[in-house]
Amino acid sequence: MESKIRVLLSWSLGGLVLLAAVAGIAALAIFERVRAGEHQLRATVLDRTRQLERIRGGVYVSGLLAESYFNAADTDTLERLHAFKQDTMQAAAEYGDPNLRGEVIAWWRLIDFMADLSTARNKRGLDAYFHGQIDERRKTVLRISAETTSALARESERGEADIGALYGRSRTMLGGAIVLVVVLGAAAAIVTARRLARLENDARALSAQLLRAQEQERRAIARELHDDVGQMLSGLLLEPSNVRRVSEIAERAIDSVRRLALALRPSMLDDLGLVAALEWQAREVGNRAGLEVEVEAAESAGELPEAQRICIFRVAQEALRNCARHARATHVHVALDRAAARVSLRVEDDGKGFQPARSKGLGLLGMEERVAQLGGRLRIDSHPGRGTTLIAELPV
Amino acid sequence: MSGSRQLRVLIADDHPIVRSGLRLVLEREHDLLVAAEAADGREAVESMDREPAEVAILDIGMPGFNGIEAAAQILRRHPSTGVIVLSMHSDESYVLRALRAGARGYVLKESAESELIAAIRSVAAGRSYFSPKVARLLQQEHVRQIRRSGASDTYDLLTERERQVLQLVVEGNSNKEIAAELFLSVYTVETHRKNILQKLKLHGAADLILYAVRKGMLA
Repeated sequence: MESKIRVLLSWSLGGLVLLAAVAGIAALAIFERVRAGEHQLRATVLDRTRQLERIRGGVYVSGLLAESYFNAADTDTLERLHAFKQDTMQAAAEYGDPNLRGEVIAWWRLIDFMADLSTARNKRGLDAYFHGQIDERRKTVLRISAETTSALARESERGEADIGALYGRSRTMLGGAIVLVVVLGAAAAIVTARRLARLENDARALSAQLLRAQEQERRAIARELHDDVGQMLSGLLLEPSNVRRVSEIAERAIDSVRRLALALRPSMLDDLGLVAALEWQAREVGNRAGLEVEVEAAESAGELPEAQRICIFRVAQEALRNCARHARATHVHVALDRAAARVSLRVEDDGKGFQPARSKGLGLLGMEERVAQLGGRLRIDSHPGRGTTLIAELPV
Repeated sequence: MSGSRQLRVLIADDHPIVRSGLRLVLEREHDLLVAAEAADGREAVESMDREPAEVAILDIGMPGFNGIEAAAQILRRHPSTGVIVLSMHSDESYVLRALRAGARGYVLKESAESELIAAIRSVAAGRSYFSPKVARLLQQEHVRQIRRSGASDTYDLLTERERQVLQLVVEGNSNKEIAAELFLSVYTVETHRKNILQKLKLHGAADLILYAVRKGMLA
C-alpha cells in the first residue's frame, strides 16, 4: 500500500520531468530549423538582388556606352559593350524570368542595331570636351553604383551575423533553463517522495499506537470495573443487613469509580480550570515517580477555550509522563504563559536528555499532532546529559 | 412557631436525588430548615438574593455555573453566609479553590451525614470545618512534599506566640477576639498575623486555612 503510492508518485513526478525535457528539446530543434530556413531564404534573396543589380547596371552603362559609340565609334567601346551584353544576358538567363529575359534580348538588339548604324555612318568626330565629359560621368556613375551594391551586400551580411549571434545566445539560455528545470524538478520529486513516505510512516505508526493505547485503556477500565467495582457491589448483595459493612463497601466503590473517572478525564479541567488540573497532574506524577514538580501559572493564564485547554493539558500530561518514565529527572518546572494572542506551555526537566532529531517517540508525535491541529508549534530542546525543555505554543 | 430560631440552609446540587436525600437528613434536625433548593450555581445565587439563608451547601460539579463560582458570588453579596462545599473530590486543588472562593466548610459526599450536620453548625458559628478524610489526605500530601523537596518545615520558624495566634485565627476568631483571649492589643495581633503569613510564605486567609488543615490544626 505504502510502496505502491510511493512508486506511483515517483513515476508521475518523474514522467512530468521527462515530458518537460522532451518538450524543451523539441522546441530547440524547431527553433534551429526555422533559423536555417530563414538563413536560406535571405541568401536566395540576396543572390537574386545581385543578379538584378547586374542586369540593371549593365543596361544603364551600356546605354551610355552606346550613346558614346554612336558619337565616336571606337573599338574599345565596342568591346566593352560586348562584355556587358554577355554579362547581362547570362544574368537574365540565370534569373529565369521570361519577361525580363525577353526585354534584355530586345535591348541588345537595339544596341547592336545602333552600333552597326554608327559604324556605317562613320560620323565626324565629336568635340573632345564633350567626349571627355561623358566618359567622366560614366566612370563616376559606375563607381558609385558598384560601391552602393557592395555596401548593401556587406550590411546585409553583417545583419545576418548579428541575428545569428542573438539566436545563439537565446538557444544557450533556453537550453540552460531546461536543464535547470529538469534538475530542480527531479530534486523536488525526490524530496517530496521521501517526505511523503516518512509522513505516511509516522501517521501509520501513530494511528497504530493510538489504537493500541485505546485498546489497553479499555481493557484496564473493563478490568477495574469488573474486578474492583463489580466485586464490591456483589459484596453488598451478600450482607445487605450489615449497615457498617455496606457503607464501608459503598465508600470504597465510590473511591474506585472516582479514580477511574479521573484517569479518563480529570474533572478539575471542567470544574476548576486548566491551572488546577496542571497542579493536580504535577502532584500525581510527583507522588508516583518521586519527582519535585513545580507549577508556575497565573490562574487567568488557564482561561482558554475548551480545545486549547484540553490540548495544553494533554501535552503537559504526556511531557510529565516522559519526565517520569525516561528522563531520570529530579526536578521538573512547568510554566504556563499567556500573552495577547497566544498561550505557551513550558516543561523543563533536569534529566538525562536525548536527541530529538533522532529518537522521536510516538508520544512526541502525538503531542505534535495535537498542537498542529490548533495551528500551534511544538519545540523540543534537548541534548544528552543536559535535560529537556519542551515548549508548546498555541494561538488563541 | 420557633422558625425564627432555626438555621436556614440552602442546598445546591444538580442531582435531584442528592437534594432530596440531603433535605431528608437535614430536616431530621429540629434546628435546621431547608430554606431553598437549587439545581445549579446561578439558581443558588438568585435564590440567596430572594430569601437569604445562613448556610449554603454547594456542589462543585454543576452545569454552567459551578459551585466555586457560586460561592464567590454569594459571599460577595452576602458576606456573612457560611458556605460549605460538598464534593466528591478530596484533592488539594479543589480544597484550595473552594477556600479561595471563601468557603469555610469542605465536606466529602462520601462522608457520614453527621459530618455535614457538624459542618453546618460550625460554619454557622463562624468556624471552619473539613471532612477528616480531607484533612488527613492534605496532611499526608504536605508531609510527602516536605520530605521530597528536602526543605525545612516553615512551621518551625514560628514563635510560640505566633503559633497561638495562628491556631486562634484558623479556628475562626476575629483579631479582636484573639486580642481578648491572649491579653494583647488588636494592633499586636495584626502584626503577628502579618509575620505569620510572611514566614510561611502564604498570601491570604484562604492559604492560611489550607495550611492549617495540612498541619492538622483543624478538625
